[in-house]
Amino acid sequence: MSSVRIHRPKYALATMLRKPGGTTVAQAVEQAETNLEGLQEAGLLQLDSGLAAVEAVFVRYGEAFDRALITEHYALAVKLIGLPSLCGFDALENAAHSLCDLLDRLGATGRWDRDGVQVHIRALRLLRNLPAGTDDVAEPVLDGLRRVRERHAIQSSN
Amino acid sequence: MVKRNSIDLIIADALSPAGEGYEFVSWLRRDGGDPNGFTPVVVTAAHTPVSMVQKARDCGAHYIVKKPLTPVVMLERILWIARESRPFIECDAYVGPDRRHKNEGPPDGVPRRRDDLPAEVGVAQEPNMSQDQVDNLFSTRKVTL
Repeated sequence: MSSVRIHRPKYALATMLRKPGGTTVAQAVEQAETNLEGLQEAGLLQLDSGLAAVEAVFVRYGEAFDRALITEHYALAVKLIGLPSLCGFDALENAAHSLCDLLDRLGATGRWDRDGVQVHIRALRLLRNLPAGTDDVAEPVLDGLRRVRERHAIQSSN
Repeated sequence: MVKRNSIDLIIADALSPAGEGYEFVSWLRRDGGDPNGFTPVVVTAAHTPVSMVQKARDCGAHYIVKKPLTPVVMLERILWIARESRPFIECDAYVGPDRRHKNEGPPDGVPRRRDDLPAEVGVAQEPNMSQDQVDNLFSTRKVTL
């Protein structure tokens, strides 16, 4: 037996939205896009050092399952997410998500798939070296990663 | 800061795979109290590990936005929060905005439950309800389970 209480709070945001004046939605979006463009250079540097760190961890894997290393690898792979899109590498973004999905699944199941992880690491480097905006070329690569995820029954949104 | 200042909107990152961001929102809803216990919260998450999905769902955020973030998506969520004014639910298992705010019917491929209404609407069996009766159906009441 538990009770449910329902509150109807008044949000300051709603009041602010009703006030006349301010910035239009179109202006706000345009301004945000411009701000993001200014972050691209720094984002690219961060992306490259992040990719190097992810590759460096892979070299340390042996043939057996290593939970501590997978956890470390996952923490580094997660840091990549968001950076490729910022720099116009949408396929690379997709691959980074895929690597996170795979490492998360390996850590949860205790299974080891060195080849699957290696395919992802190579794909990340390949997709980084493709010129931005050539995502159609990347489609077969992403398809390969999808098949690796399917092998582990990973349901992901990518 | 959260204890002392009234905040209009909080955008919190889920941070590490251990989900400190979700824990912060959970604390805010259950123990934060005034002035920010009801403050709208958007959590941004790079990747949610399977083990964290339940924590993310139950933390009490208005929305969890998956990265990469885009200005349009963020603005859309903020406008939704401002316009929809979702009621807050407080019970043993959950404190936060009502999660059942979408009216999309049962998910595809999920069989209908025994007590769901039939998908096909038949011929009316009773006279139309008055506007007062209809309005009454939408008025909120305190529920005790």
